Amino acid sequence: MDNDIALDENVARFILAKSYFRPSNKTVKHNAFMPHKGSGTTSIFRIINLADIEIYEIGRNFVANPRGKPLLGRADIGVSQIIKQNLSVEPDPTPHPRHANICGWTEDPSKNKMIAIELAAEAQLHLVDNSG
Amino acid sequence: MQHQSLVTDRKDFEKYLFAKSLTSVEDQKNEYYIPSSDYVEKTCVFTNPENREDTTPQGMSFGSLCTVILRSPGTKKSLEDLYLKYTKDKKISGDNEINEDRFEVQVKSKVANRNNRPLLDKLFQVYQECSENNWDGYDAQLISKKAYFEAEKLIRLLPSHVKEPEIVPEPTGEIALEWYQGKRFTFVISVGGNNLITYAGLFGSTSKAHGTEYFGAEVPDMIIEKIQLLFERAK
Repeated sequence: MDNDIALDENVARFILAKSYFRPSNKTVKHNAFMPHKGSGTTSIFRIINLADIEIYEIGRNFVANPRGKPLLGRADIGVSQIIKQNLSVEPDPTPHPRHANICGWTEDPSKNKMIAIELAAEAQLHLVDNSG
Repeated sequence: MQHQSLVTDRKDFEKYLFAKSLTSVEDQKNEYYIPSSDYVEKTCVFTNPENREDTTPQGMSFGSLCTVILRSPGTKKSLEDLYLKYTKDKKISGDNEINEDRFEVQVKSKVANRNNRPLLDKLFQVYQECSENNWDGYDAQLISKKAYFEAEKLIRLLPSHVKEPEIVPEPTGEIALEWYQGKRFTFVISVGGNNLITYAGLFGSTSKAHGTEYFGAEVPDMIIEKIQLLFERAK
């Protein structure tokens, strides 16, 4: 996987908690993008040139299953939207070559909340059909 | 102002006891406690099954913060520990201080006309779901009791004209109230049990705001104004 992430790429935040989206209108909530308090980053995957089935395979095998949680869906967002918030997308090929992190979050909780709201507003929610 | 009962039945007691980490409610069957705290202004009303007017125990008065009543001395120690931890007024009333008749307890607080019960139920549900670390699979911090109680206080203090928000847990361990009116019309406030409200909102394509406000006895006017602004802009 190329280490240079293009602005026109999309990345996905896999969703394992039902509180991270609104099923009623299929939109993403801000908390889905908030940074992990330990690392100060948000874990994402680059999904360029992947079909849906391949994306979900990564989501199950490298995110949901190791954490013992069901994969509920994903929030896709353009890298350009992340950069627009003065954040960066840094490749982090563990546990998967396509893994990356959203970095550059601030020390100000309210500003981070603001940024997370902005990202959520631009994200596209894709839900997994777990009915079967 | 309308009075709304905070604790009226066994289910409420179970919820309250759970939140306070008290032992199982089954162990305290037929005992009644008045939840006491320093975060909700309340008036305590004592009634008994025969509907006698007032069975207020001696040494207690309406509005008293000293509101733990024991029916059984056997549970006094655990209650004392709990009580002393959570309240300012450290007086405990025991068996020999209360009326002989068994009585039921209602705690009433001054709240607005809104029926907060569904929202408080939802808050409790979120608290239960997120009361352990890693509830989101990404090492989210657990929602603490302090955060839960502060969110409850926040909900109770919201003016009645404010539309009902959605309860949103945050991976930082805070509980957020969210008003979502569309893609770029969102306002979020959160509390984590440290007397601060963190807020952020989008009020259209060009207007946004974020910051932190002290949270004392009232919801800051600025927060209410932001909520109103959201709905005005989203029209």
